[in-house]
Amino acid sequence: MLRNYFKVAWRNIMAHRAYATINILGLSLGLAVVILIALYIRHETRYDKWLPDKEQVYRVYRHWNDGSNTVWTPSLLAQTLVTEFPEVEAATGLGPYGEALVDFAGKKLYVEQVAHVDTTFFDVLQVPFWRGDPATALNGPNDLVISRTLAQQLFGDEDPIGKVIRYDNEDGFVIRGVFDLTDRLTHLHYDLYTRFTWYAPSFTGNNRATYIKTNPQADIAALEKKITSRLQQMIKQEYADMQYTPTADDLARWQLQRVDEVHLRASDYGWLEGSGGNVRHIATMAVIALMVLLVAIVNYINLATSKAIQRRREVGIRKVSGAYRSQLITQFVSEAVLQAMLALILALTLAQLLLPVFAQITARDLSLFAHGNAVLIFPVIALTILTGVIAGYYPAITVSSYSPVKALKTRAQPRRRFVTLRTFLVSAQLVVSIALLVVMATVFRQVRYMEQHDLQFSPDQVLVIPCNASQSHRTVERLRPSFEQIPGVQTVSTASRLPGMQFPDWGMVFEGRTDRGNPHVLFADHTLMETLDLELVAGRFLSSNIAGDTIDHYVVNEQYAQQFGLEDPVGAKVKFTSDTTYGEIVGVVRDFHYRGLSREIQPLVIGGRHTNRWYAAMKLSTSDLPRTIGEIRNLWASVEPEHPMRYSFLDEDFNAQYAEQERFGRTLLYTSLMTIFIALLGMIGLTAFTVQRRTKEIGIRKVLGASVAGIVRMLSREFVVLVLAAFVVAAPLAWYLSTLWLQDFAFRSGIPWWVLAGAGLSVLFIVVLTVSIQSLSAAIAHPVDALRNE
Amino acid sequence: MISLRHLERYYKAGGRTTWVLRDIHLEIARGEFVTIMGPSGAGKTTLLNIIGMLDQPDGGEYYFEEEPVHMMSEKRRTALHRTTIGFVFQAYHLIDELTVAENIETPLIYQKVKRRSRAAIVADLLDKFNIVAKKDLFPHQLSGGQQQLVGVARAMAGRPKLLLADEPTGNLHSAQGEMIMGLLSELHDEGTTIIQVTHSEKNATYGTRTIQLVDGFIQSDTQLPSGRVAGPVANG
Repeated sequence: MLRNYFKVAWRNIMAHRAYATINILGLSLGLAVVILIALYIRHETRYDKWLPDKEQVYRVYRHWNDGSNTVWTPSLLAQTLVTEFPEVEAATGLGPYGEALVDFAGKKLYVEQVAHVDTTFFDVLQVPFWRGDPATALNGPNDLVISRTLAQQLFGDEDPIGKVIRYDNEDGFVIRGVFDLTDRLTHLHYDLYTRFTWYAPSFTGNNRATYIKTNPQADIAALEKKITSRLQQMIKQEYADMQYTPTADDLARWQLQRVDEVHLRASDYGWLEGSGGNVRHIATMAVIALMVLLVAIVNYINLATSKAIQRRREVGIRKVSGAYRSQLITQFVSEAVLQAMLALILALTLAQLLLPVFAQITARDLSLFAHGNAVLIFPVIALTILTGVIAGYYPAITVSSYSPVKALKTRAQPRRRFVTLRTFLVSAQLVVSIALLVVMATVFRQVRYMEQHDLQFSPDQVLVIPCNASQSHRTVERLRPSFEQIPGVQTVSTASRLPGMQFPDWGMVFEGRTDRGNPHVLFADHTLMETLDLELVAGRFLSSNIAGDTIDHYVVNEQYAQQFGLEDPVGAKVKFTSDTTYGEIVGVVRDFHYRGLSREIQPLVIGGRHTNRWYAAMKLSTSDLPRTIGEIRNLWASVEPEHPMRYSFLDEDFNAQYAEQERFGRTLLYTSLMTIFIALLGMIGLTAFTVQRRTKEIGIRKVLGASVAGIVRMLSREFVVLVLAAFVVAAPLAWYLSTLWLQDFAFRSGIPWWVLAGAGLSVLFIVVLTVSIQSLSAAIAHPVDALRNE
Repeated sequence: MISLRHLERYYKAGGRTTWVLRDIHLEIARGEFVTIMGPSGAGKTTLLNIIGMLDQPDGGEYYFEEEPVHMMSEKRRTALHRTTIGFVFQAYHLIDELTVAENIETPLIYQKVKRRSRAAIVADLLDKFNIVAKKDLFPHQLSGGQQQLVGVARAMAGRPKLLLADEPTGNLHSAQGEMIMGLLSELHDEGTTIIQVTHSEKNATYGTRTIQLVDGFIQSDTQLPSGRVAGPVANG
């Protein structure tokens, strides 16, 4: 029986190849997109799931009433939590250190991801060790734990344990452990761990993340409350000792985030080096996957339903031959399932082919078969069968309900119910297409907006050289005349941060006032204004020959003056909370987008202190870049003889902060295009059926004198009405989705009405074009051919 | 075998009732070859469909071998019809995607006949109807007469007691028509009860009894003397 069904199914596919191709291709494209997105989502949600005690490991963060969070915590926290709360079994701090130079037997290597941690780190975060003992690996102050990859790079096949290397300009560091995170996804993307070099017994300086391991019975909500009340008490005490009254801003709620959620919520917690996870992206991708699947399934159902009507005669014959209704339903369903399974095979092939592209645009290391991803095949198969069953069942019950007498009558019109369902399904596809077009346009416009928006500073042709020692910037300043003599070098500055980086905020108080501000802090020299092309709006910029300018004279941005209520900022007396005497604001610069366009401009204070000046920035103006850089490199050897010079360009660094959003936008773009393509396939198939169904009508109308244009118009009319109806539903949906996406950006391009109208018109155009092409051939055909049929 | 009492069939459209069949009384015994004749719209096909259990009457009673068909569920009717009734259509109604052999096999599949017996039955029929050479061809590769041959073979595959033929030669030219009628005649001689609907007086002569249907009423019911006046005499 089943054999017979499949035989008929197969012959049907072969006999109507165009139809089958559209149907199978549409479904397989949809399934391919779903498979890829499922891979992506599975990848994103598997970070740190391998940690053995993940249910007990939490990262501490502070939460304010305005909804903002930070994972930066004070160095005193880890120890305090262990001693004060019995629920906390162990705790550790983790401070990203950026990069450091390691040197083994003359082999020099910059390790880009270095972290400073407490000795308890591997008790809390049980990273699997390949060599060494995690319990003792960080006992000594000069002990290092490195990744297996780094060990391989440094020592080749030799046993790394006990090897002595030069690390960050100091000799005598010993490798005590090698961990292996191959094939394990983690937000702990460091290659080298060593112990913190300093420790501040204070609650006011937040310089590290803190992780805790609780006992299995701990009630997390209760623990958060206990921690908050105890810590607020301790912090108030510390401030009282400093004769400072803390404001609400100083007293955040302390909360706990489970370690395996860290990656997905990275972007919401102000972590420096977010490993890029974004739960909103996951949600959007899931919605898109659902939409694609819906469009593909709807297509499939639509086409199968249209096709089924043509098979009324076969149903009639089979009924006359003694088929029960249930047997016919089984036949239709198994046919649809067979086609769906063919589509699945094609989908897997497509997914495998598209994977490299998809992996690139999502910047994820994805594979169909690695990481146990093969388990995804089961839900996908289930989904495919379900699609087949749905697509087969509906036409099956309808067509098989015809009495054989009726079914065998040629030219019976399909039931009204059929047509309305199809109308509804096509409208749903149109809605999705219009909405996706609008979202795509919004993404495009936002990207262009960010590219073209005036940043109020110039990142172009600014060479950035990171320093490796805290005093290197003094050497740079001393050598400034020599640097500036290099042809092509215009200005040379040193700074603690540059636009696009994360800026620390420091507490500041204003003379004669009790409130406090937390501006972002930038320390730089007097040339910075020129290097970055900043605009001065009041007073003066820092100067090299005014004594106070390297101590307690400040330049602030407009936002600073505005937010802290300084009507006449120049001359105002301010100081950092830790300073003893007041300094003075000497100038105001125009607000510039130092945090990129996705974030608001905050109050910023620029000081001239020689603190944390880790970067040299040089404005270039040259046509022979390699030569200029070569000469800078030669001179740099006298700044940091031990460290090979590394450099980047500020505009590229600055744009890198949009990388995740851009990647996401691109992923969105491709998947949307795919969806629209599938919808188009369906539209082509469907109009073909419509035209076919009305061939006789077209013939009669032509005999009666209808023109070709008139017939095309007649056939297009119902689709035009559908597009208009779809637009009414799609417009608010599209507006809502786009607004949601734009919330990632503080500076938005907006969604003008013509984007909506444009999307609607494009879809209308495509639909009318499709219908016209199809109906044109029917309209041009000789009416006798159409009428002779039957 | 068949007993129809007060059978009626009508359509209601816009408050008016259009009668198709009115007060039909009919007894058909096993082994008869009945021809239903009458002008277009007389209700011939409807009567045939009701007898074939493809359509239901709006009133009256229908007994098939003493069983009340008018009281049966659809499933029961299908079960009865699949084992007892075969159909031949004017337009052949073969399944385009199936070969000759597979078309003949279809009713057997629905009767849940085992694959091996199916093959044997199909082989017998192909042989009997002299279409062995055509067994792997598709319907569109055959002439009209050949298609109808397959249609009859398919109708006979389930060894029905009753064969219903609705203008079986209506789409054929005369030579092909005669061949098909000769075939039906042979089947009748072998014991199959046959009811045919036709416009052709000549075809009627193959039968044993002719019923004239006019405007839904049975106008006349005539027994033919020999069962076949024209045509070749059956052997034995």
